[in-house]
Amino acid sequence: MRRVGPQAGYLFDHSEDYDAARRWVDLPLEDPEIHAIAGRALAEVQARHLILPEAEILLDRVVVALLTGHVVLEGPPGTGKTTLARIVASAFGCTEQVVTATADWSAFDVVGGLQPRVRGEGDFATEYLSPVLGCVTEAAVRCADVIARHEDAPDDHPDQAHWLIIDELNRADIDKAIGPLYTPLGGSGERSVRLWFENADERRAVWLPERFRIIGTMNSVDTAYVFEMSQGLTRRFQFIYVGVPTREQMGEELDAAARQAATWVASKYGASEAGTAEQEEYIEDFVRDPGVEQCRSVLRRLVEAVRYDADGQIGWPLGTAQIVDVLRQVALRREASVKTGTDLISALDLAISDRVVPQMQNLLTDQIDGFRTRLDADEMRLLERTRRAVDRLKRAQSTAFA
Amino acid sequence: MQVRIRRGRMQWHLVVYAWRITLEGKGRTKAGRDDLDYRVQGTRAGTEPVLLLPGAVTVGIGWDAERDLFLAFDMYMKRNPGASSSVHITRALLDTASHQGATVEDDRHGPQLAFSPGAVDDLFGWLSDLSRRRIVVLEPVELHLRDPEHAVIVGDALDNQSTRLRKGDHVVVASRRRLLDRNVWTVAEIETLSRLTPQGRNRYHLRFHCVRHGVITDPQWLQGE
Repeated sequence: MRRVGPQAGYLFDHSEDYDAARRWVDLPLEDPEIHAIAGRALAEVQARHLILPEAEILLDRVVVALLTGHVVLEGPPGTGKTTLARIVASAFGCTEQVVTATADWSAFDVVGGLQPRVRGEGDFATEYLSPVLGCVTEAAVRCADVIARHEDAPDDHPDQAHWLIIDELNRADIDKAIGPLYTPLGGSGERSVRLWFENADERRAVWLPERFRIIGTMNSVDTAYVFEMSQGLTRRFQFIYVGVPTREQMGEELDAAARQAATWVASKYGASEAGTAEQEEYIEDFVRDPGVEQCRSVLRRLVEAVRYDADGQIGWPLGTAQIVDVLRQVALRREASVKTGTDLISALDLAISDRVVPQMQNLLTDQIDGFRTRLDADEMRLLERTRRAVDRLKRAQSTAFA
Repeated sequence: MQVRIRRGRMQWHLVVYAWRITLEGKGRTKAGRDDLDYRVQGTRAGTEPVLLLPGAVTVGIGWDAERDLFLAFDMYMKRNPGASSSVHITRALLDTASHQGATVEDDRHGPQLAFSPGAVDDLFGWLSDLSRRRIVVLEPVELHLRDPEHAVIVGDALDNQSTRLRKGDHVVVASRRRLLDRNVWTVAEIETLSRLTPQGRNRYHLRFHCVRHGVITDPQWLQGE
């Protein structure tokens, strides 16, 4: 059957002809200007109010790592790893897709296989097995599509590649799932992945372009249901730690979190549309509300108490996303508090006891005891429900069954 | 007739039209000769259109009682108003199949497979090819490049390259074996147009609305095919 092979031309859609993507396999990433890429990423980080510790150095490390291969961003939950992955992909001029790994992942989810499907209706409905690609092979094929359009008309199609972001990478038994990709991910040998389930000659293998990257994210705190990373995988990915903001960044972090919370409430439940003057007014009103300012002050004390011990070392690295979650609930309750005359600290207290305390279950008894003690000091004395919730947690932790 | 066939891992849902194969008419060109070719004189009830079902392959089957052979042909190419109801079959195709068991031909009558009952496996391979998306080189009646990503290509309904094109197939436009445009297009929509000739007859054209699918960079590609 007639086809346009990699020597004869190129396709913008390789979904029927994976082999045609061979044409793009050896093209390296364009314009490897580290400072320019990191600068674009930093501008976007600031525009999105993402607070990263030592952001410039962190971005520089991520950019250099991606110029050499695949990357895993590891760190506590809620520190913006997935957002950072998307920002960096965009700074490189790459589109991206995000998938979330699970403990069920196998080579089927990553490379592909045969999937049962139904064709026809009624008496003529028949089940059949249809070949499907996994997330890595599918992203690699889409990467070839993006490269082809870019090479054809770079002004009209400025994106130079397509990358895959795998969230919660360590939730998968990654050796089992990604094992078949070890050689092509290594970057120094064969760059194709053979597909046992394809019959057509032009679809027997998927090519991983040199421009293709995988960015994994990994929660290094919550280790429940997490598989160990083998040395084979750690050799193929550069691991970069993304921590919580420093104590010095906390004012900036809480301001950004309040804005994100207000933006979320306005977008989800507000009458105004995103980006309008009306919404901006709502956000400013929320951020400057004296009651919200008091909440931020109490929240700052609390976060300082759980994150940093007396030596300034990180204790429980509560992420910015968790702070945003708490402030979203404060924003939702704000209107009701005006009507009922209750103060916003009650709203904050409820939000912390419901959103933050349950996440402390993995902490050591000493850490919970230390946190409980600090709840009796300063403004944190106002958090009555939080105190009770921590007491319940302590009782649960000290209960043993013989 | 609708048929469901299961063969190993493969399954087909077929819509089958079946007729006998007969000798073609002598006409003026073959008057007095005995090396006549063959044909399937297709008959369908009234103006009933060819049944094309999603997920099914519509296929025509002819029976050559003289050689105990079947002939499979693409009924999709007979779907258009104005298309001849006859399918022409060369004597060589049937003779070769009777010696070899199965033979394919793809000329101005479209893809055909002649096969003996014992060579039915060849039918399944041929059906798989029929079901796959194809790249067709078309000599267009009109070509309109609307923007870099979209084109409208008009083909003659009497041109078998036009009539075989389905939605999702790919087209390259050429004239006298030279590319008119280096793009490979994907057919997104097909319209049938009726145009009156100066002689007052209806002439059917097929209008293909296409999106850009790829580019041919090798000028020899067409010659290599």
